Amino acid sequence: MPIPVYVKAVLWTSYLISLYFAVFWFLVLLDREPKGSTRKLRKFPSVSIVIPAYNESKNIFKTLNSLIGLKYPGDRLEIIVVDDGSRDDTASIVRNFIAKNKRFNVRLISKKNGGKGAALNDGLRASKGEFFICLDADSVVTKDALLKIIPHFTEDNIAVVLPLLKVEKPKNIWQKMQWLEYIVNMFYKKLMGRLNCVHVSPGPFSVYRKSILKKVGGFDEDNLTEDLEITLRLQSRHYRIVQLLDAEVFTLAPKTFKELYKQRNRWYKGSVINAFRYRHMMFNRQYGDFGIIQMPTIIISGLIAMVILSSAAYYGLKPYAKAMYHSLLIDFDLYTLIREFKFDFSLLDLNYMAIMVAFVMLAITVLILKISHAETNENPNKHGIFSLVSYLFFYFMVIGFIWIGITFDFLFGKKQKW
Amino acid sequence: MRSLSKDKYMIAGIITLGVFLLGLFLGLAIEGKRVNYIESVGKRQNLDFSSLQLQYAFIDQLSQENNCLAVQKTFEQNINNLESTRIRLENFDRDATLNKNELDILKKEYVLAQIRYWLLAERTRKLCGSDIVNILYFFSDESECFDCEKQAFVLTYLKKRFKDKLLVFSFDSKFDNEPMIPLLKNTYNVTSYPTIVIENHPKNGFQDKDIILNELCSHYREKTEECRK
Repeated sequence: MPIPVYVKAVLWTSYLISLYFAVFWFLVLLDREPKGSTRKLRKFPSVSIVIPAYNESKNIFKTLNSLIGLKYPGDRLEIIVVDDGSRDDTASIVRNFIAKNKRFNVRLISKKNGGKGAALNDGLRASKGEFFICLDADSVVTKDALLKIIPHFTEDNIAVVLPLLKVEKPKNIWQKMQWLEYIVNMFYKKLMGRLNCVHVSPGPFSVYRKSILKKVGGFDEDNLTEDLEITLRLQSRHYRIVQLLDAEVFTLAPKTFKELYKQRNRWYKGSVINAFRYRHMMFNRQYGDFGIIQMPTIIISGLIAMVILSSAAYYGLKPYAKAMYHSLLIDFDLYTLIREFKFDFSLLDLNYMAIMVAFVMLAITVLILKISHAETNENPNKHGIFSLVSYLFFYFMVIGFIWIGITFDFLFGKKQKW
Repeated sequence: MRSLSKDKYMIAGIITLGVFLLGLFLGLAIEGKRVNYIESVGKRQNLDFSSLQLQYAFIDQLSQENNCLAVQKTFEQNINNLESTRIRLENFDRDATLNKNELDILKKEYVLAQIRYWLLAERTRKLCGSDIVNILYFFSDESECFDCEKQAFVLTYLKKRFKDKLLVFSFDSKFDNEPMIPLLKNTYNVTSYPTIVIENHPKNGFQDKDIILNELCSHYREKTEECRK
């Protein structure tokens, strides 16, 4: 049965769009790194680190410990834990920590549960530093992260500088695939940063210039992904966001498919909702490259993931389903088929168009993997060939599946916290 | 006003288009090669057919019936070749973009070849008195014919079981403008697809393995192992 024309059209469009984006970012990569991206620190600016914590008794101690290990003058550092109405002993662990580390300026704010955005705003109001850092309680920072980040605030319109985010000690296949994904994402965001196209400042250790954060009104308290919303808002006011590839921060990644699905469902759904909210930037030249290429990407990437997954599933599985059904018609007399099988193959039988597309896409993916690992001082094979192969051939299907789930949620009006 | 990487958008567009066109040209080149391949195979098969005709004429005129078995082997080989090329041609046609017309002409030639072989088979069966059953299989790939796919699979399977005892001739009914096709369709009352004709008895719709098997066995003079099962 031939593939219907409209399916072909959708597949070719997806391919061409993906190819176009890959080529575009490759061209950005070829540009020389802009000069003067750091400046010498004459004095250490004061920094406030806010940790919104909801039932984080397991992680909070480790996170706080990593913070007091930061290479930064203790008197210029302020750490605020906002206990967002935890029902476990997060608060007592923090109090304990404060009692034992009197040398450091660590504070605890307790409030009724009101969500991450509200907790961050409480921290923002209470903070005294020139710079504001949010830090998810499931993340730990490396010692010199802050020292590497602060000098990148070279210009007044730089609102956020982002560290290199890596998955902490990946143990199983899900975490290992995400480990690779994070590396690629970071590299991609670094490229985006060159065109000022970064669209999200994730929870772990994004460093904000507080004056700007206050000026734009702090975090949205009623948002699925307040980290994405604040970034889109900063972009809509033409502030700059810089991604670094050397200040390392480690974050815990979901360990099971179920957890991953939950996390990504929220992330991607939040990205669609917020992209819709800031749709005036879409294809708007006033917002430069961000409007022309980045805003559409937020939506298109999900669509393409869905197209690739559904066509791969349909056309990949169909022959097997058909073979099963057909063998039913001959009472599974496969012996006759095998006995009479004649090897009749011509090189001309191969579907060269499909091979060509697969080759181009695979080449691009491998190239991106290689470069992004080189840029982040990592080795693609660090966590084994199995996770690498799974990431290359399987992970996109997982992402596609999550997007299909989101589409269903939107279509059938699953209740969502907006 | 924020910066816009106009040049990059342009260059990326040109490169993307370049890669796409490269792929397209490659695809077209392959398609051309496929047409040439089928054409050259077709020429060879025409020769094979002429030779086969001569062999039967020789048997007929000089009453050389003892040579029937050898010639029948050649016949079987030829018809198998023909079928595998026909299937390949159908696959090529499915993927084709620009050469659809050429491939359609080739397909039509294969329809005619099937008819030629079928007529030859009918004549020589009388001549050599061989215990062979002929099946005509009418199918359509115009619209989705799910049953045709099933039917083709079952027939291929039966052919593998009965080998040279069974000859299957497949007719793509799309070629209505080839007068032979309506002629056959009228003769056997073919109105829907799939239809199979076993020894002049048409059967409409999908026929499963056991129905055809029974029908076949009722026609064989010598009941082979396949029929005793």
